[in-house]
Amino acid sequence: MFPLRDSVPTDATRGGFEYLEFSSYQHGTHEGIDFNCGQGSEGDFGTDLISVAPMRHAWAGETATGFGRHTWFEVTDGPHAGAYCHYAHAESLVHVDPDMLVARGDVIGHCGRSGTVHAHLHFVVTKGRPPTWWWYGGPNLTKDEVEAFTIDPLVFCADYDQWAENGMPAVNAVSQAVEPVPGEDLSPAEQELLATVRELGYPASEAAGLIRQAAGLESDGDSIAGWINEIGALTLRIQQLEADLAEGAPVADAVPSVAVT
Amino acid sequence: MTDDERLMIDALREVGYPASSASGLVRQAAGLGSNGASIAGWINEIGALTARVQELEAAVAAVAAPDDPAQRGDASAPAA
Repeated sequence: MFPLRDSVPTDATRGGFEYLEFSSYQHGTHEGIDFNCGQGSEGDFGTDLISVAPMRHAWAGETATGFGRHTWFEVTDGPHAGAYCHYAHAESLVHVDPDMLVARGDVIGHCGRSGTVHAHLHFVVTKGRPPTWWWYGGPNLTKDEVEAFTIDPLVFCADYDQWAENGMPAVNAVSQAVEPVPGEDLSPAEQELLATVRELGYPASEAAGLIRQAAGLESDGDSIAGWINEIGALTLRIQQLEADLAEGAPVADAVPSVAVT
Repeated sequence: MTDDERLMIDALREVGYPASSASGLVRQAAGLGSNGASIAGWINEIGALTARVQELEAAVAAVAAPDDPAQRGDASAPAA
């Protein structure tokens, strides 16, 4: 099973970049695979995006360029539990509620061309930390460094095929709220916060500082994701401009500010 | 509830942060291994990167039109 329905192993990457291939669009190592059904960009448009593994929805957002409409999930079970799956350039996304669980085989969105030109699925699997970490080094990372915090998507898919064949445990693909923690004077939302820090092992002392900082900036979790994306977009823009200057032939206006394919 | 957890709830109430958003905030921060100091760092970084982009865009524009007096800021140049 692949994250783009009807893509097949031999054609899975037709029309895009392979895993760890140098991407001229990203000016660096391609951290995932561009899945394509081999039908051309219009043929792929609207094709189902599939959950390869049982996952918990972590984040979804949209940027005009770069990843376009994209989302990532945390893998909750199986051989790569704790990894994150990143789906980019979607036309639409089905599961947008934080913490919603999806089962292997669920449709989580539809293939599109948001943030890019040709419809395809840019699919990345990172080890234990969200895909936004890629932006911290992105194009400056060596191939080995990218490989160190990612998993070959084809290996990931094969491992979950094997896992399923061996009889994976049943997964209830229904949104599950965090179990509230009893508290004598806590509102339901405060109980949820308490349950969340305990579930994640996030230091409550750090959470207090985080909340104060976020309150001062009138920001929330989505703001954080937006800032990370903005840093990534600005970093790529700088590298693009520096390359233009070095070549002495600016082409900055001819390409998107950030292009990820 | 631990003392730190109590202080967390107290901070939430003190600053009037929407409790319904707090869980998502912590989840996002935890996923990135970040904290309040990280947020301040990102804001500063965005400012610095934005300034650098503006600087480079000006340099690219100057390379694109090296003979354009307007690009050199030549006040005596006739208006286009």
